[in-house]
Amino acid sequence: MASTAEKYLKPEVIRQVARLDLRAKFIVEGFISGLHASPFQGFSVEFSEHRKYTSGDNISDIDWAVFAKTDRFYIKKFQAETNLTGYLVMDLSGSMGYTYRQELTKFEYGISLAAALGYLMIHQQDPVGLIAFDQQVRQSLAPKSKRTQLGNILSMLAGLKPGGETEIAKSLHQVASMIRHRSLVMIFSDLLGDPVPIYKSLHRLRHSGHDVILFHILDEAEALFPFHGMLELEDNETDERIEVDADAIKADYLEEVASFRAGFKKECNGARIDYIPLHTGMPFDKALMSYLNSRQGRG
Amino acid sequence: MNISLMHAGLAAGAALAAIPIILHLFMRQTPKHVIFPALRLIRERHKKSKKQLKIKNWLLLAARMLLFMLMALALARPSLNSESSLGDQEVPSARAFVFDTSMSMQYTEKGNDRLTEAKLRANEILKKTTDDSEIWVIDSADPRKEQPLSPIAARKRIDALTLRAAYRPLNAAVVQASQSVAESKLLRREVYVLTDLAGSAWELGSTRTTEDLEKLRKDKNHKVSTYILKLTPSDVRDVAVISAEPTSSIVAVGEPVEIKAILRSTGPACERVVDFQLDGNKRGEKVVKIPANGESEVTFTAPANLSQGLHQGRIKLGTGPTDFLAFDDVRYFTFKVQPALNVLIVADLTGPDDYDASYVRSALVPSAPGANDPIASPYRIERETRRQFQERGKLSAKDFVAVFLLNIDGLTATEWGWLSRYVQEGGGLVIAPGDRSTAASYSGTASSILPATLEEPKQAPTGMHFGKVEAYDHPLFNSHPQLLDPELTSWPIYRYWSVKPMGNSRTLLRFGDGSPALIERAVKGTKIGHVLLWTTPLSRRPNRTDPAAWNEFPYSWAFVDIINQTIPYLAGTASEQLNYEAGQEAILTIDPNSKATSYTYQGPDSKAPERLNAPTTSDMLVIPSPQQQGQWKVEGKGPNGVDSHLGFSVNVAPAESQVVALKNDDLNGLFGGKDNFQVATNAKELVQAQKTGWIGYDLFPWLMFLILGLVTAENLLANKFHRNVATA
Repeated sequence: MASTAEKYLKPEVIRQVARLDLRAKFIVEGFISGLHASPFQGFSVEFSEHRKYTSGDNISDIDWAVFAKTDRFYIKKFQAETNLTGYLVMDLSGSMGYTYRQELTKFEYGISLAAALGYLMIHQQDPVGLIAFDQQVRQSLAPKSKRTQLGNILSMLAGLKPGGETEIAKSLHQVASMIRHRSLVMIFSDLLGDPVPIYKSLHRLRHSGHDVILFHILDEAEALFPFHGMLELEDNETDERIEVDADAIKADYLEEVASFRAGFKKECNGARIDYIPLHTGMPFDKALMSYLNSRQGRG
Repeated sequence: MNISLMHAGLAAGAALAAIPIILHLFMRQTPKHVIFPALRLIRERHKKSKKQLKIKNWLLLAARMLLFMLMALALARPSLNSESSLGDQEVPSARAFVFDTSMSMQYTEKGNDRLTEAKLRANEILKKTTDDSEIWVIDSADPRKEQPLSPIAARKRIDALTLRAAYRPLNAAVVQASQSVAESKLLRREVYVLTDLAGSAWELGSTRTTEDLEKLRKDKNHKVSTYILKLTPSDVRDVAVISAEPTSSIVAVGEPVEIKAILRSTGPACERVVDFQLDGNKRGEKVVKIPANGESEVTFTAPANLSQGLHQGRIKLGTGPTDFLAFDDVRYFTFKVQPALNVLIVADLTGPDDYDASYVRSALVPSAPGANDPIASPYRIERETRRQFQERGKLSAKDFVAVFLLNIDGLTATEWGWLSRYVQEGGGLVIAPGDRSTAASYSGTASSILPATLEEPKQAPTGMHFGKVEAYDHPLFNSHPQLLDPELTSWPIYRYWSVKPMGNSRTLLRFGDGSPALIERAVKGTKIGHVLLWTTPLSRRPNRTDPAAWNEFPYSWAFVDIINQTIPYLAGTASEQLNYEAGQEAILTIDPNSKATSYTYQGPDSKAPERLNAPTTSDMLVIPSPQQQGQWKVEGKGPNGVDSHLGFSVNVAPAESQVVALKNDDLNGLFGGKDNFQVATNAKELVQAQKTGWIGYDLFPWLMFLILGLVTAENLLANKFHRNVATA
């Protein structure tokens, strides 16, 4: 049921699914299900040729229209099946562990998204690797396209814990130097750091020939600032505290967020990087669609 | 102006302004602790907005505090007023009514005189006064301290008020009224001054009034509102006899008496019949034209050969169309006819050379031009030489009121002894030594009465005159004080006696070089006698080279004037006054020969005569402050059955005829500022003035308006401060 599958694109639903592999599966299935009804059908998972059905092929890949015409089983072959090495780059900073509404943290949202993308890529036989960083790269998994890779990625993602301070720019420089072949680098981060060095590190990645998708994940509260009254705000990375009147500062803050995002968008556009501003209340399909767009662009 | 509160207690609610402070400082909202990683995005903006936020916060706090205070103030019903009396008409009040009962209040307009109008106005106010109020009714002429009355008793007292010829300044009555109501425990205290505001009834420039009222004002607990009910006539038209005076209060038998009257018209020119009456009989009538807003003079002559004794009369105007003030249509006068006063002149030269005595004699008893007989004079002169004087053997004050010793010499100690006793009996002695006198004959016994010791004759510097008068207040000089100095300094003095004044003497006049010219000494015996010493003769010589030619003084009118003032002064009649203004103490001279043990006096209102004891130490009978305008009679029964008939006239002060209202500046000066009183000319203005005085200019609507503005401002500020922003 398409409608049942699509509900998994909503963060509030997916958070109820404990297992990350299932989360990834549900998100992707929901996404694909949605695609059939969308005008983007066949855009991202582009059909390229047919081949004869052989035992072991997925029955669902049989092109029944061809069967109706030729009375023979043909399997659709997809363009995406051309190899594209992808890297899921996770920010492990303490700020990523934040959630205001006690639903998905930015990190959980990020790994759900990463898992879904990993799932999607593995199923397209694209090699996928994983890199996690805070002040530097902490963990990494070399890209592989074997189905077992998905299990490895999911288990590693599930094992990651956000905490402490982060050095995004420095880490991205490190990532750029680690990845030797032209790849699709998907970064999951709240980017809460000095933007200018981050801009530079993104440029570095781009100059190294990589395609970059920057998933800028903010908490829903960080994006919408739903607070009222006097607040004592604490940065859980630096322990810095500021006392503010939420009502008084809301407009200014939202303006600052917009400006912050606009800064990244401008830099990313300049460097032909896909910049996807997200917050934890947004459905996952936007992120996945961005991936597919990027995938298509490379095909 | 000051601010007063109708419900002062509610103003304490202003303390509620502390609530926002307490909330702001002590009950500050504990901020909710929120983990917020995107703090970096807030930090920069926060720095910028923090200062702005603080300012807004304080502004909001101030606005809220002000709101509380203004609301409390508005509930307390503040008002701007001149005095602090508050409340509506139904509250018991302490009210003093000061009635101007001076004669100018007799002016009649629209059928009512001003006093009647004042009574009507006061009764109108009393109608609106609660029965438990305290009322003082103060007659401006009556200095008695009044007790508070009930409104009913006050009405009766007001109805009984009458015009008073004698008055005291209204200032004193206003102060008295203010002090009375200020002592009241009732909260609303008011003084109503009902007056035509005629300047004559007020003592302008009296700092004491201002100070007394200021003292009352400073006492915050005893504030008094003062309302002046102005009853000034709109257009004053009056013809008045402002003066009617006989030639002199004391005249000699046979001396002609003229009564000079001055008439004044306030308003258009007019023609009025003037009636002259003496001793109850009509003695003359004249028609007098009086110019518009001007004066005319009319003179009547009393019949010749008036009998010895007191004569009383009046000058009265006939009725006329432009006269709305009656009291000043008549003026009374009194004069006394008595035998001529005996004066002895002692001088040696006689016949055609009688220069030494002739000038004094001519000054006292002038001859009619071209006639040998002297005209009627109040003096009878006896002329003696030194030898004749020495031969008379005695001298009594009963025989002569004055003795002149003119340029004589050779009086012995015996004669000086007579003179000494004569002066001690109250006689008057005038000594004017000249070229025939020697210092030796004015020494010894003479020193006991002489004002100075003669030293030597002295040649005056060329062109020397008399100097300035030393004592203008002296009766010798007070007839024409302004004219005397220039006259005295225009006649030359050639010689004079240098003298050494005694310690108990007084120099009345000096020469141009500062030497004494006229010295006086009062000698006390059974009575007080006066000795006047001129240091230059009271005579001149036709020939300037004559050794006896010491001055040209007798040519001066000042000589005649001073010599004529000398006799009444020495006789003690100079100060005798028979015409008084109402309220003045009347002082009458009693003839010691017919002094009674007790006297009675009676005014023109035909009330029962008042009794008065005879003075024991003097010959002066004092009638305390006669009030009624008209003729007063004083009768005394002597121990030997000799009756004395005395009397005097009382008139209203001429200023009372001038109904000219005080100007605002004058009132401001009297009351110490325009905010300290309210003036009302009619009932409507009085209501307005009372409103202003009682509850002042009510600030309630203005405060509410301000509160409304403040609430709006507070709302705007708070909304701007916490403005909702659409979700991004």
